[in-house]
Parts: sequence; structure tokens; C-alpha cells
Amino acid sequence: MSVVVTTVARFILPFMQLFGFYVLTGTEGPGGGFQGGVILASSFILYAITFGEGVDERWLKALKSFGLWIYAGVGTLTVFYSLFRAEFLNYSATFLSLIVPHPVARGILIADVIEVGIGMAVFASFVSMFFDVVARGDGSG
Amino acid sequence: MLLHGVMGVVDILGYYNYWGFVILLAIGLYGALACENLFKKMVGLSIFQTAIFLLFISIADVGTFETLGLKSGTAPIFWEEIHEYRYVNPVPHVLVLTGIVVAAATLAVGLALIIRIYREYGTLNEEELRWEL
Amino acid sequence: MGALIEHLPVLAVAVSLLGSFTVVLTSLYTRKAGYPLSLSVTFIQLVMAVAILMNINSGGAISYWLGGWRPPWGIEYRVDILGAYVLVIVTLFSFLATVYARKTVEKEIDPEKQPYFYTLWLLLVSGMAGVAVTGDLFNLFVFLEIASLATYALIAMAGKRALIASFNYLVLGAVGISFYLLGTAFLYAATGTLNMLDARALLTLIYDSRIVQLSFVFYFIGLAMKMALFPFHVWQPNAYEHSPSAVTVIISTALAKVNAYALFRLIFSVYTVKFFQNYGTIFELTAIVASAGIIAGSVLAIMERSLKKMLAYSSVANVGYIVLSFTLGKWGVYAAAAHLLNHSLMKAALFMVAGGFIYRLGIRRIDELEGLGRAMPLSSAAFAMAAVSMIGIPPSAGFVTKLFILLASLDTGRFVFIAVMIASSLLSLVYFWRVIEILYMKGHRERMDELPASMLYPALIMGVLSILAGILWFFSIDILDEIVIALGVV
Repeated sequence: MSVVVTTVARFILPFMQLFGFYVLTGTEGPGGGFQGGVILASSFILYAITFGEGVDERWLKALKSFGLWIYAGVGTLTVFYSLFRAEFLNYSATFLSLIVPHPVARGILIADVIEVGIGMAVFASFVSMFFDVVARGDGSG
Repeated sequence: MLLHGVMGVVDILGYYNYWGFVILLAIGLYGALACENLFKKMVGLSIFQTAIFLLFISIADVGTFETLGLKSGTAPIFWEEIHEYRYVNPVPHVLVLTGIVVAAATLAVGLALIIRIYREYGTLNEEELRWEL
Repeated sequence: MGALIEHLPVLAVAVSLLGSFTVVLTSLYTRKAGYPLSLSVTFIQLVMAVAILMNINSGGAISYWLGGWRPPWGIEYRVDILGAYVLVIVTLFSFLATVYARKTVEKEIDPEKQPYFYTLWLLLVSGMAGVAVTGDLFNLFVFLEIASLATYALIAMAGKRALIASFNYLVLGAVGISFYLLGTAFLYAATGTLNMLDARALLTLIYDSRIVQLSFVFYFIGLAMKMALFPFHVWQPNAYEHSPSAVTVIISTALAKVNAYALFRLIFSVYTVKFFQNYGTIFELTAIVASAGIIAGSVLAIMERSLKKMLAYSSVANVGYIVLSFTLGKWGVYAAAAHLLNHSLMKAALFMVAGGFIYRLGIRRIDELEGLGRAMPLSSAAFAMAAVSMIGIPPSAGFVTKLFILLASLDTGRFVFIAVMIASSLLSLVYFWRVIEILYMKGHRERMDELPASMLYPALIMGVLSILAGILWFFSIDILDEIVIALGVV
């Protein structure tokens, strides 16, 4: 890839990732899990296009399933930990009141944890889709 | 009478987002069902789904329903100074977000299938592929 | 443990989601964890579904507020007797298909891809279970899409021609579900709510609004495309023919019923019968389209030379039975609810044996089945029992459904459907008798090994149950009464 592309990419990648992380925690602003994950994935894809290096497939598989485990797991955890008194994904359940007393803040904290999980899963999915498409093509990249 | 007619035309032109929805719906549906190239089918499907999202967003804007003019709602954020704006209904926006994720996943599966079909058969023409079945 | 029962609807869906993610994680270390995990997860779901059904008998419906948010602003899971019944059907046939899947997956799918097969399999099961328990229209869309996307990928895992079949299914299925979404958009525009119960209450005031009628038409067309009702069935024969055998078993029994359940729920619980009494033409048109589908499906089945494609056209005809019986009043609801279970019993046995013939001998065409009646007697017996039941000989399952539809036609005074039912029974006699004749009365093969046990026993059990189902339905007809009362069809 030409010098212009590599220089601009090297300059812009950290900002893309910072913006991606900002959009990822989207409970009190624009964005959310899916949107932030897509921006992070596009930063990795830009790196792969300009510099031609890949990512280990096993990490992507682990991230995908671990991210989704966080989401469904937190939901199920609210059911089990409150001894079946709170519903699935009931963020404001009282069991975390030892850590964060205020119910709205509890909700935002757990929602951010879930968004991070979704973001990891979406990021890993899009990056692995890109590598699947590219890697078996004509061998470049 | 003339004023009534002119106001009627302004009324129809005011609903330009619904016109956009209908035109995109027709284009997308035609593309998805009648085009022979598999890739054009996926693009048509994508346009079709985007038209539906446009409909969702249009019905969310509760400002233009009630007044004849083009005054529309605003984003649901509290501003202390301004009290008389109508807030846009955020529920259809959430539905569109979920719909976009679903449409993106469908597009991803469809494109992966197209890649494998091309590697297997060398053609993306539906007529030729039908003979394979 | 009483509080556990309330959470079972959600746990029944969440446990297979978690199972699916676990299969991907364990695939980093071993390739063999997919099958045991799927088997245990689907078994746990079956136990949960039966527990929910037992518990609903005593109380009304389980209403579950997801996340603690109150409906209509929050998503509600509402399991009444019909939902619990469909959940039991879905989990039972998912479990049986998982038992069946072991040998065929080992043979038909690359060893490297087998973990991904089971991942998609568990996602499919969770999507179908989610449709059965949900009480929110948009949540139904999401779960139906989860199940459909997993199906497109599962069908395509079989290789060459399955890719084209899966792509055709993808385009038509995505257009169909987008029509469902359009219907939801218009319903939301008219009522302002997505919750099924709330929409039912709000719709009673605005039955004569064009938007409401339009939304029902979009719902019907969308679900008809996904159920493979007559004019929109073109994807189904190829998809059933070329997909892996286990996938054909699960989608013909569980996924097709879930789509029919979605239409069932929309017609009777959201747009109640009063809506259709005001606009009788919609029911008339539905009945005509369904009858055309019944006849067309049976005629197209006669002309087919491949066994699985013939069974797929027979499924097109049977979906016509279900949709026809929606329009026929109280006995029609009996027929539709009974056929959800009966058809699954029969088709499970038929597709399991058909897949078994492909597994053991590579045979796909009907002409090549000569002499297998003597060579593999138990497998052919399972097929023959299910075929007898499809034709509708008493006291089998097919006869129960056809009897209910006949009673419904007499009850509502539409005698033309009696002729349709008789014609379709005669046509199904033609195409099933052809297979039975070739199996038992033509050709000669020496005795060979039966299908493997994991494939043979589910097929035999389904075959025997479909023959005895008439007697079993006689004793358990209260559940149909309760379904009718819960749906408010009088």
C-alpha cells in the first residue's frame, strides 16, 4: 500500500478505536453495543487492508462466544442470584446494592457491562467475517 | 376552493418521506424477486428493508401528524429553556436499530452464500443455477 | 421452588442460547463436545416445557415481565395453554432430531465444521422456543429471524446444491419476514403498542380502519411466505431435498409449526374472530388459497421422483390443512391445534427414514427403493406406519385431523371443503401407495443391517405414535377445549 495510505491509517487508527470505545458505552449518549462493535471492527479491518496482517482465529472465536456469554450470563445471573425473585435482565435488582446503592446507577453499570459484551461479540464477528472472505480469495492481504 | 386545492397539494408534498418509502419498497421488492443476478437480489433485499426502516422512522415523528405545516418533533432530550417542542417517539427508533442488526446479519449470510456459490459454480446467474437444482 | 416455575419460560430459551455459545468455546479444545452438549440442552428444555405445561393446567397463563419493566412498555413473555403446547412440540421434536442427528452429522458434514453445526442447531432451537413463549410482536420477529438465519446457514452446510437452495430460501424468507415487519409497523402506527394483549384491547375500537386491515394482509403474506403456503412455497422442495437429513427433520417438524403458531396467535389473540366476522371476505380468500394449496401440493407430490421432494410437497399440502382450519370456527381450531402435533409426528418418522435411506444406501429416488421392505423391515415399517397415518386411515393421527376438519365444515355449513378433504386424501393415497408398493412388492434384496439405533428408534416411536394417536387424542381432548377457551373462539 502506498505511503499516503499507511501514514494516514497509522495516524487515524487510535482515534477510530477511541471513538469506538466511546460509542460502545452508549447508555447515556449515542450508540450502543452493536454500533461500537462495528466501529472497532472497521478499525481492525482498516489495519488489515493497509498493513496486510491478520488476527489469530482462535482469539476471535473466544471473544465472540465470551462476549455473548457475558450478555446472556448477566441476564441469567440476575435470575439465579436473587434467588428467583428478580426477572431476567432486571438490572436494578437488589443483589448488587452492596456495591452500588443507587438503583439507577446500578442499572447503568450493568447495562454498560452488557454493552461491552455485545460489542466484543459484534467486533469479533465482523473481523472474522472479513478474514473469511479475504483469506480464501486470490491470496492477497 | 383554490386555497383548499393548494393546501391539498402541500399536504401531499408534505408526506415526502412516505413517498420515499413506497418508491424504495417497490424498487427493492422488484430487485429482490425479479433480478437474475444473485448479487442484485441481495442489494434489492437491502433496499427493501431500508424502506421499511424509513417507514418506522416516519411514523415516529409525531409532530407532522397533527399540524398541517411541516413542524416536526425533536430528539427526546430535556432542555431546560425550551418547553413547547414535541418529542419524537423513541420506540420506533429502537425497533429500527434492532432491524438494522437483523438486516446486516441477513446480508452477511447471503453474501457468504454468494461467495461459496461463485466458487462452486463460477456463475451468479439465477437462470443457469436453476438448471443445477 | 414455586418461584422457579415463573422463570421457566425465559430459562427455556436462555439455556440453549448459553449452550450454543459454550459449543463455540469448547470447539477451541475439542471437536466432539457439540453432540453431548446439544443432547443435554435439548433434554433440559424438554423437561422445562413439560413442567410449564403441567403447571398451566391449574392456573391461567404465565406472564413474565422481561427485565422487570411493565408491559406495554416492556417486553412480556406470556405463556398460555396454546403457547405451552407449542413449546412442548418444539422442544420434543428438537430433542428427537438431536438424537437422530448424531450419525448423519458425522457422515455428511466436515469434521472441522461439526462444532459450528451444533452451534447453529442450538441457536435454531432457542429461536423457535422464543417464538413459542413470547407475548410481544416485535420480539416474535426477532426470534423468528434468529431461527431463520440459523436455518439458512444449516441448510447450506450440506454443500453444492444446498447452497443454491439455501440462497433461494434466504431471499424469500427475508422478504417474508420483512412483510411481517411492515405489518408490525402499520399495527404500531394504528395502536401505539407492540404487546399482543394490549394490541388486542386497542384494536377492538378500530377494526374498520384501513391501516389495520392492511397490517393484517401484510402479516398474512409474510407468514405465508415463511410457512410455504401455496403460491409462496417454491423454496421448500429444494430446501428440504438438499439440506442435511437432521436439518430436514427439525425444520419440517418444529420450524414449520412455529410459523403456523405465529399466524395462529395473530389471528385469534391479536385480531380476534370479531375482526374477521366484520370482514368475512378475508376468511373466504384465506380458505380458497389454503384449499388451492392442499390440492396443488398433493398433485405436485404425485409428479415427484425424489422421495424427500415428494414429502416436501406433502408438507405444503398439510400447511394448507392448518390454514384452512383457521377459517372454520371452533372445530377448525381443534383441527389446527391437533394437526400441529399430528403432522409433526408423521413427518418426523417419514423424514427420519428417508434420511436414513440416504445415510445407509445413498438412495434419493423413489424408484431405487425397491425391495427395501424386506431388506430393512423395521425402518420400512416406520415409514409405512407414518404413511398410513398421512393418508388418514382410522384410528391414526391423520384421521383425527381430517375428522375435525370434516366436523368443522359441517358445523359452519361450507360443504365444499368436505370435497377438498376427500380429494386430498385420495391424492395422498396415490403418492404414498406408490412408495409402499415399491418398498414391499417390487424387487428383491437380501436382508441388510437396519438403520443405526439412534436413527431407528425415534422413527419407530413416531411411527407407532402416529398410528395410535387417535386413541390417545380421545383421552386428552380436554387440552383442545382449554385452547379454544383461552383463545376466546366460541
